[in-house]
Amino acid sequence: MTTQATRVPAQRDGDLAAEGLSVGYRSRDGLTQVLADVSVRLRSGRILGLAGESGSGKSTLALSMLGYRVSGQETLAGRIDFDGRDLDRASIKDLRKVWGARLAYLPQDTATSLNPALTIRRHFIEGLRRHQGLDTEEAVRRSVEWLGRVEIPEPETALHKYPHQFSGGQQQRIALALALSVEPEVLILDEPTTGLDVVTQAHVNRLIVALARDAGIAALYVSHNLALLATVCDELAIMYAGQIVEQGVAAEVYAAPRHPYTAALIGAVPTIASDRALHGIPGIPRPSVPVHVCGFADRCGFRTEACDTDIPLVTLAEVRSARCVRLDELPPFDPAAEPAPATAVARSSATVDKDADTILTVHRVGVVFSRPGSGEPFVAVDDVSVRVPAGRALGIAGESGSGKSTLLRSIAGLVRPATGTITYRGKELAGLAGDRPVALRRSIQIVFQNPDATLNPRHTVYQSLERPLKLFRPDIARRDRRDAVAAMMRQVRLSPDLLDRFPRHLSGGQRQRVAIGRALLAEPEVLLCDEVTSALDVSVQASILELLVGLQADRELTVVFVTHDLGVLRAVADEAIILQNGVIRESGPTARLLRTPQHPYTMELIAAVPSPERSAEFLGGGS
Amino acid sequence: MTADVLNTVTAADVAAPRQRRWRGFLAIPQGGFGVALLLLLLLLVVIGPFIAPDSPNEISDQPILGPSAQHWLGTDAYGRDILSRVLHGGASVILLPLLAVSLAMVVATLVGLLSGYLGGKVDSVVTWVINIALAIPSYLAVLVVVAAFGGGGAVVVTAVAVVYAPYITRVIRSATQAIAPREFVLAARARGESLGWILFREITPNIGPTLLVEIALRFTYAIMFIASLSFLGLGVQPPSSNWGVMVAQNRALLLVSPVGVLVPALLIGVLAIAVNLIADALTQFFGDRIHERLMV
Amino acid sequence: MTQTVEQVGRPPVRRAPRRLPYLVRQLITLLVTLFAITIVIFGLTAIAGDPARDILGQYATDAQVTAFQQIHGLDQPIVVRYLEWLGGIFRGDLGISYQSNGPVWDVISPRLGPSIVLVLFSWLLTVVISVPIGLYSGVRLRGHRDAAVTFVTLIVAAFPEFVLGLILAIVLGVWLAWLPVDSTAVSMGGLFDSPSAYVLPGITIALGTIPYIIRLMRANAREVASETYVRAAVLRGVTEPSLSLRHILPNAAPPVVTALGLQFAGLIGGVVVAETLFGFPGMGQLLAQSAASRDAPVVEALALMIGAVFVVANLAADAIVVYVTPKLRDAVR
Repeated sequence: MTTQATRVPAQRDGDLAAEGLSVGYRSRDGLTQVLADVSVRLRSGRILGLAGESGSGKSTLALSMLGYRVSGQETLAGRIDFDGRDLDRASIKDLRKVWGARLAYLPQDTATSLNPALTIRRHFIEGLRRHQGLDTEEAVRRSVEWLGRVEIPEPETALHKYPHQFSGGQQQRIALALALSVEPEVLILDEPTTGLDVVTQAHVNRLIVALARDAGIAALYVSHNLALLATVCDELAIMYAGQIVEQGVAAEVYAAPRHPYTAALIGAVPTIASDRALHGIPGIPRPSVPVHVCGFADRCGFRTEACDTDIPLVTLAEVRSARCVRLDELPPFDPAAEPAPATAVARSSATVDKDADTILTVHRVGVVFSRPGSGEPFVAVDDVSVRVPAGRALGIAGESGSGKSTLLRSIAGLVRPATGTITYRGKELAGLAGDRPVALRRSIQIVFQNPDATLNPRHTVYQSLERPLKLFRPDIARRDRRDAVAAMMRQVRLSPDLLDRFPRHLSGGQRQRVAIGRALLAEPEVLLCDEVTSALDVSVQASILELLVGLQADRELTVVFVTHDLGVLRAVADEAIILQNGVIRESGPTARLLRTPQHPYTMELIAAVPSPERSAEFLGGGS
Repeated sequence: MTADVLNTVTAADVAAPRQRRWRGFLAIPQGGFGVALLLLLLLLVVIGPFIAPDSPNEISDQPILGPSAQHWLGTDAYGRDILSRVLHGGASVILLPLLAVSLAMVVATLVGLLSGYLGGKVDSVVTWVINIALAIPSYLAVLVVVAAFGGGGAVVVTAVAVVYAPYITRVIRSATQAIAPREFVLAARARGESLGWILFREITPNIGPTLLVEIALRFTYAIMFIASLSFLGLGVQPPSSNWGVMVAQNRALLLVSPVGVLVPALLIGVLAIAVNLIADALTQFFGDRIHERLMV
Repeated sequence: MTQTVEQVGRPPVRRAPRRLPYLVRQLITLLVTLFAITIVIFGLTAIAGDPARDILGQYATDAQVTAFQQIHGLDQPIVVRYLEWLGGIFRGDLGISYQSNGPVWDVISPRLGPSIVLVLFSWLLTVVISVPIGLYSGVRLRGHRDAAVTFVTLIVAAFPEFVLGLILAIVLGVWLAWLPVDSTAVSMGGLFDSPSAYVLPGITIALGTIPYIIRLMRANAREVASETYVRAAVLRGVTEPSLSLRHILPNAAPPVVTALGLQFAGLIGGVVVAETLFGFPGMGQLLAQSAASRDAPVVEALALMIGAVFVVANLAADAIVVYVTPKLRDAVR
């Protein structure tokens, strides 16, 4: 029943498999294990999705599958099987014969996957000449053909251009064509669309799936985005703390997860389709591979003493396995259910019904920047008017460059609008925060996106939190400040023990909680949130969103929440605005706006959101 | 000009404060070795005058004697004991560059912080001045000043400080520019903090490590520069026993008694190496990349 | 009416002024910078006050001082002096030396040739030695050998040129007696009659910049080598030397090209020291001597010439960087 690795009997040429792979990194501080007993098999014509949060070891696995090792990397056990050969022990000479010929790799960073100093032509003919033995003329013909297949306009001209002359999505499509032009048997994709806008992402993903299936390639698709993988892949493997915790047919795993981590992860993914509450996973991901304990045990609601041992992967069906000792005892998955320890705070609909006055009015605001370098003017926000109702959550959604953050920053007084006015309770606000009276500055607080930069690295948590008290709360005596700060720490669910730590000792999620606490200590009426969860893992994002939704309801806060993720929008916002190129395209109650969009751009955005339930539609969807 | 084409400093390049303790700094081979070497030289310079057999300008014997039991390093063209001169001549080799760098640092830090944070017109003017200043090679500028005002320690210290200030300003301005758009600074602006608070409490602590690397690097350059100027006869003037001056004066004895030239020359080299090793270790310790980016 | 209301919230966008072609802009920068340099050079000498008494000594008569002031135009207002000096430069008249009392040009001209040859020699030496070593150690070396390269460059970089020159002179000139430790021979006969006299000063000057260029090349090569696109190239099966020369070098070179441009005239520090040390009859030696004897007209002329070379070399390096970097090439259009 319990086997060490899921072995699939049929072995064909072109199959690439990791068998019981354990990998570690050696550094000055010793050996850190990052992969433990990982077995996956890629099969021709099928795409295996590998999902995991940051630090789960998924990218290490992707590169290891190619026999590529970064410096300090050591294989502790297992092998990489390709045609009966062990790639992990192959010589660099042998590897160079298969790399770019039979095994292809599409890297993560869209901006740097192509060499900026070389033309597209040079990228193509190098590999085609070496691996396919083509002469230059034939190689050029083949390149043009592939560029056409990835829908690059005017392929002949494109060949003579440099990478920076294409958009991010085009660059990644060119990189895809480059990888496929040598007709490989295996394709490894490492977060190939992360960093692209959602519409572009959908386009690239459609191409990846169509071309890979068409060529009968065995593909591994690595991503942190579970919903995306469940939509585009045939099979799904879930990784946690260096181990595969569950594996199976994509649709089955997503619809009926068996491992508590998979179930919790799915419960944490915001979706645009339903009203279900998000549930965060308490705690933070384990930084290293577990020894003699289940890797997920410290965050799992179903933990028992039986979990304190090395957990084997249990085969459930031909392509279904999970790594949990309590598989038979766990209740079946119900996405609407509360997780075992009830941590979730669902959005209460009571707040929505309240008839609210307008607290903040943005009237015909326009913001102009000059482009760095050329100095050309660029309209970031174009004649935007918004009415923010008191005590509600307003969401502003849009792609990068839509002007959503700029709009928020102009409300916060960080960017001076070129035209228009912003009024708060009937009083017009000065363009820059420094020129606003203290009472107004206090009433409007902002929380930022990047958890690495939101707190001053040289100030302790207490120093950061004390500052708004000094500036805005003369009512709190100096000696009472520490108590007030500690009370706020508890409100944002952090231990007051962390007060004398520096931000580097905190996780990203903890830092965002401190940043929220810092804003709330001013006792604001309006809380501006600028993509506050977009840099966090999905399980942490869900807990921050829970916190925000709870605080908003308890304190009757007005929240303006900027996001690029329509699922997040749905989870936090009562009312929503869709922004494109600095212009409002559509606005209205969030649920209605997402269910029955009126503007073509909103429809396009919604269609680009990956949805496992409508996989065929997503992959076949019109361009 | 040049600086603008490739100026791509990001926050990741700014030296970051480390949780590692200073013991970690000494554990870097360059750091431990550099600190040890510097302490040794400081010891020599401080107690040197007390253990020197003769006073530095006393004519104690025949001129141009080779090394002997009585004169370990021989005597120079005036019959002065070279060892005694070496033991007396270290202080100005260290102090003049230290003075020049301190002077330049104070001005450059203020200007760099203001120009980097405020941007706009202030920054345009500062950048313009820096670019003009950097278009004149350091040696040339100092030599013009010396030609105009005459040589000597005070003129050279001032000239070197003035010549180095634009280079330091450029580094601090870039570091400030990389930090200023970070979100904790935006948060401070949104709270309506004062300019002083933002510059000195939010930004300065974060560019502190960069400042430290800059001081160490500049100090290395200043030691070499001022010693070279003394060697050229433009800095400290004879009859001082400054090591640079000694090299210039004893150069004539190169063929007869090389040690008399070699010892002060090597001591200058060792001093610069010690400081340079420390600068390199600091760069590693803090992960500083600004200096690499700005090519200084 | 409606029209005006429509316009309220739309931010006013003024079109950016048309930009001049890149080369024209560079040329304007060059002229402005040169002009600024003349002001700085002349201004520094002018604010120092009247040098007549310092130069003639305390025993000179008032009549001698007045005569000196008249010959050198020191009795004129400062703006007039500046304009005459600037005008003189265009006519090829660089003024009268305080020390030789002859035209400055006659003092400088015999020293131009040897210094130009010396600088070219040192600069080429720097390029030929630093670029390959820096590239190789950045891309290929790890561990002890790399540490060795780092350590040696660190040590050499911390020796002032006059110390390096002395060590070379003692080892190669005195102990091994391979090369002359005195380069005065250059002033006799033709430019290339005594090639050995160029070697020690040339190496000394080059050693002042080689460690710096090696470190810069190494750091840039290492950074580029860790880029995703290089890893992607490796995983497409690209092998050496194509990987280093075609994929890494073009991306790592631009800062090094800029630095080499800066160094071309930045070598002047080394030139002054090395020429003085080895008695090489060039511009550097003259510059040091004239600065020491406060011969302002000669120093001003030399400073202007060297400054001009510096600015031109910088802008040339800039242009090369722009030309070899596709992204910048598009940006300047």
